[in-house]
Amino acid sequence: MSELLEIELSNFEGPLDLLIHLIHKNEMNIYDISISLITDKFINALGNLNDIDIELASDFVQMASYLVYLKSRMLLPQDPDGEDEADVEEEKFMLTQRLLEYSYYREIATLLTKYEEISNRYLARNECLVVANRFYGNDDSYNLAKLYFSNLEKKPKHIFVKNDRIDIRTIIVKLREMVFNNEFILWEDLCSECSDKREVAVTMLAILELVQLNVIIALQKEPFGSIIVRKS
Amino acid sequence: MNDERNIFIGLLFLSGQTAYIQDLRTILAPINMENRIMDYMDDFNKLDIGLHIRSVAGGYQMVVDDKYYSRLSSFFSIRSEILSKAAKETLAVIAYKQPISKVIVEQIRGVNSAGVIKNLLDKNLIKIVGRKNVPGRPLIYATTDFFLEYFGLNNLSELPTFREWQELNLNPSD
Repeated sequence: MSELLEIELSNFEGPLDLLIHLIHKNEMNIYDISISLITDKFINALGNLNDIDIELASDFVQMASYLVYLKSRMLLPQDPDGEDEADVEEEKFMLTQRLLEYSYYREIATLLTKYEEISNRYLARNECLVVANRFYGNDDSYNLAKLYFSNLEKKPKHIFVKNDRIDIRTIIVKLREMVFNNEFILWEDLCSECSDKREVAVTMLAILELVQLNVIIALQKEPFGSIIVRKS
Repeated sequence: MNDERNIFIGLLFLSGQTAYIQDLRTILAPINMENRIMDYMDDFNKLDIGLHIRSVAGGYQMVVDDKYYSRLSSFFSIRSEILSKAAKETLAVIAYKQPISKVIVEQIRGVNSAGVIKNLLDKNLIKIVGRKNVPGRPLIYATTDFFLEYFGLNNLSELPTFREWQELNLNPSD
């Protein structure tokens, strides 16, 4: 019956959260938990741990091993002369205290959720309408350091903004000059002068434009052959 | 005509943020100021014009009445983001135990809290207040005024103490 509810580890904030959940589920008194029972339940809950984030899981495994340790200590007879280790009952008491403290903070967190909900409903400006003469608040070292380091990170980043627009008119002027200075030019020569594909395309457009205006003539002897450009 | 009251209201309108008592003292007459401010607040809140002045984090802030929240928030696409459970749990620990180091937070919560603490620092809900005088000299954290403002609290004593909480829990019949 208790296994009806599947336990999803990622729903818990940590091993203490899970422990408290198990204590409530098994209707135990937090002041008198059965270490043996809770250890079994806890390890059962960890059963499907295989596909979980190891960072997250390590905290749970640590708690599990601590519980097993506590359980084994309780099974063994007490050594009245043993002074090197704390009394088992005392350790259990410490665990209870820890759980109590944690469940208190857990409760406060839910209380904060309630406050958050209420407070969020009061809308306010989050920017000042005017620049205050005085420097209000926020002048703590963390913010200062954050600003400083964010500036440091920014510095070496040079952003090159390239003007990659090629004006067809400048190409036409260039082309005209080349055609009138030489008797003819080959398309390949024009291409080799271009810096990128875009410029090649614009050069092509410029040739077509000049052909249409009857300024130049473009000749091609065969398909995929060389194109000769000369003045008309 | 009450110039001081109008200045107070104007100041809150322009600032939008919380005006702290120590800042108000530099603008208004400091003697018996807080009592007069209570009256101004009452005056203003009685007008019922959709705005009201609330006292929060040891200061005063002009806010819109909460009953208009749903009508206005859709129009202004206002923060709907809420803090995670882990963040609130960590805040609760820091609020009660401050100033506190990360190690102690982690001891109480039983999980690694480095990421949460960084997140809270970035959100200005906690701040670094110094270093602890123990080996390693770890940083110690405390909550900010913005923490109080965020949760609509006036001061930390508005949160129940451990003893109050324990009594409530032991007598669930209440």
